[in-house]
Amino acid sequence: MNPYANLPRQSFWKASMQSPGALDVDFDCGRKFTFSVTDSFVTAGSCFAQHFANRLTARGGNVLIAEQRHPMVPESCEHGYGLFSARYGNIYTVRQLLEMLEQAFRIRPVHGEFSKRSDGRWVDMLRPRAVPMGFSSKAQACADRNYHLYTVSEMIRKMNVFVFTTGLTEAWINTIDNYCYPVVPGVVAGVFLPDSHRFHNFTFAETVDDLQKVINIIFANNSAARILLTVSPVGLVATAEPRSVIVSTVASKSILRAAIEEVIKNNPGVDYFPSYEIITSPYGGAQFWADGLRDVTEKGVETVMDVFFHSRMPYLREQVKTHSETQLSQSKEFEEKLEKALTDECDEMFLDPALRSK
Amino acid sequence: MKQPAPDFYLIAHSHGVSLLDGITDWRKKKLVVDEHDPRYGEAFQGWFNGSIMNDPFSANVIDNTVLLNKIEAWVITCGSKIGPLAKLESKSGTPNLRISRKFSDILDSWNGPLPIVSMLNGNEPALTMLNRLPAYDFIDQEISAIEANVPIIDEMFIDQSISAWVSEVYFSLVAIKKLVRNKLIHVLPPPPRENPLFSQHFEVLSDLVKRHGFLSDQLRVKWYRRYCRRLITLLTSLDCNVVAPPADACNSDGLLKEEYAEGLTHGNSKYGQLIAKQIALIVPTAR
Repeated sequence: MNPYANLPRQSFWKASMQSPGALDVDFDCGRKFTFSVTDSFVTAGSCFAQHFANRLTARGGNVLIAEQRHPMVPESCEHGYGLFSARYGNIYTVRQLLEMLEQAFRIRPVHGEFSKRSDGRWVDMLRPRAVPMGFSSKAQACADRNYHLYTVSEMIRKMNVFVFTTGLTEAWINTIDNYCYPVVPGVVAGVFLPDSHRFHNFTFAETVDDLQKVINIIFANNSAARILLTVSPVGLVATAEPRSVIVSTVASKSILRAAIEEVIKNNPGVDYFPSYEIITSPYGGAQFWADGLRDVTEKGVETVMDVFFHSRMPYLREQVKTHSETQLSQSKEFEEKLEKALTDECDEMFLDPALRSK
Repeated sequence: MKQPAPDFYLIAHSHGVSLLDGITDWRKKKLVVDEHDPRYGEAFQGWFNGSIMNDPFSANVIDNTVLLNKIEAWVITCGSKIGPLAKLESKSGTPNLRISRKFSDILDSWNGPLPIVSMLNGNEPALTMLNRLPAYDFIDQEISAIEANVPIIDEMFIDQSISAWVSEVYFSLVAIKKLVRNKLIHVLPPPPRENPLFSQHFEVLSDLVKRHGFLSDQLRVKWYRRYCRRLITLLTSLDCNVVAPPADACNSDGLLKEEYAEGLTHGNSKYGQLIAKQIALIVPTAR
């Protein structure tokens, strides 16, 4: 007899790897809580968070939309509504999320940095691709930012579940007012100024600290909420560290994964969902990686969501699976929208000059 | 005996009624009302059923306080079914101004030294008066205050709506400039009513008013002023005089005072008297 003798199958590597399907591996067996079909979800984070929201909606889940397209805004324009619960765009670092929440709840002043694009439209530098069509004027961009932050605060107060997909630890900081950008100035909009734009790679300790502050803000404003953290398996497009982007990717993901492990221990309302492991573990082999070996295939996303629904919302999974499959297979338009959402709207892609020209 | 020449020609949609009612005897001569429509006040009886004459007519000025004697007016009512006076069309990529035959014929007969006063269109900004959409606001250069915690609609979309409205009257006035040599004066519509709920007649909007109520005063004025600014810019480029709403008829927020209002969107005869005084000042210089 030894301490491992009576452990379940999923505790053992060999048995896990021999499982016939991802559901049998039971990646999420360590879960703290499940969700109800009526729970309203908010998703935020890197590109992978968009997959999550789309699949959740497609399967009949309830994604809270706090910032909605007003009927006076034509549906056909690039308004940026509908990708996330509010128009915050991709949030790659925990610090970026923290600063957004601090501004939304007026813990720190609202940072208004706006830049005029070559087409004459204005861009909010703290969400430069969240509103692709831009704004008519700086005043418009500023007013929209204030309203956006208001919707973020309302979203936090009203939601049941906050799903945050962490992306990376590398960021560019405005050293004058001390806030971080989602994308370095000069790539999507604005001008890169070496004196006031500094690279920073968040450490494990900083990430843990930032995550804890995020959790504190959320629970201070919605004590009944639950938080589900994930790590995006999608690699960095580029690194500003003087080393291989592959090494930087592993470093970033490792720090994020370890930081999450640290905070979930101390916060009962916070849990981790292993989408990262489902995609990157040897169980999946290379089957979940798209061409270029950076993005995740449709099959990979489906597998992650299958595990999620099986583990966290089994009732929803059974109830709407047929509907979801029918909808997905029959609606070309949906697929096109999804593809656009997942490629065009990924800010980080714009770091790579080869992708920028696409 | 030779009839005296009119002081000016008036071409008007519904906003012209205030002027005609305010200073002329036109109702005695031309209007036949077959039956009373309770949705409208007296001023707009017959407006929708075609009982107002469709051709130009002369009206004598009976208000002695105004330095005008006679007006020749063409009032285009809903019941007349005339449709757009002029419309910009594209013929194999080339823009072409299509002008209605009746409009063109009437302008031909007016061609000369007398000014033409337009009170065409003007109800377009009133399309926004009902509070039928989710809350919103927009940024405007004249009224800087914006409502907190509501979506701020990009000015681009606001201006798209306004451009569409303005083009309705603009192309009619372009047609006048194109066809005749008369000086042109355009009278802006009155501003939004101070208390539209006090209107005795909700016209065809009764159910909608009950269901939605009215948009905030500030937003109604924003829409109106933006419409007027855009129109003034275009009309100035046409060398067209513009008559603004009389200051005495407006309250401190820029809304139409109750005592000058008729129904939901129009000025009454008292308002028309004030407009007439402004026109009377411009007409001699425009001849």
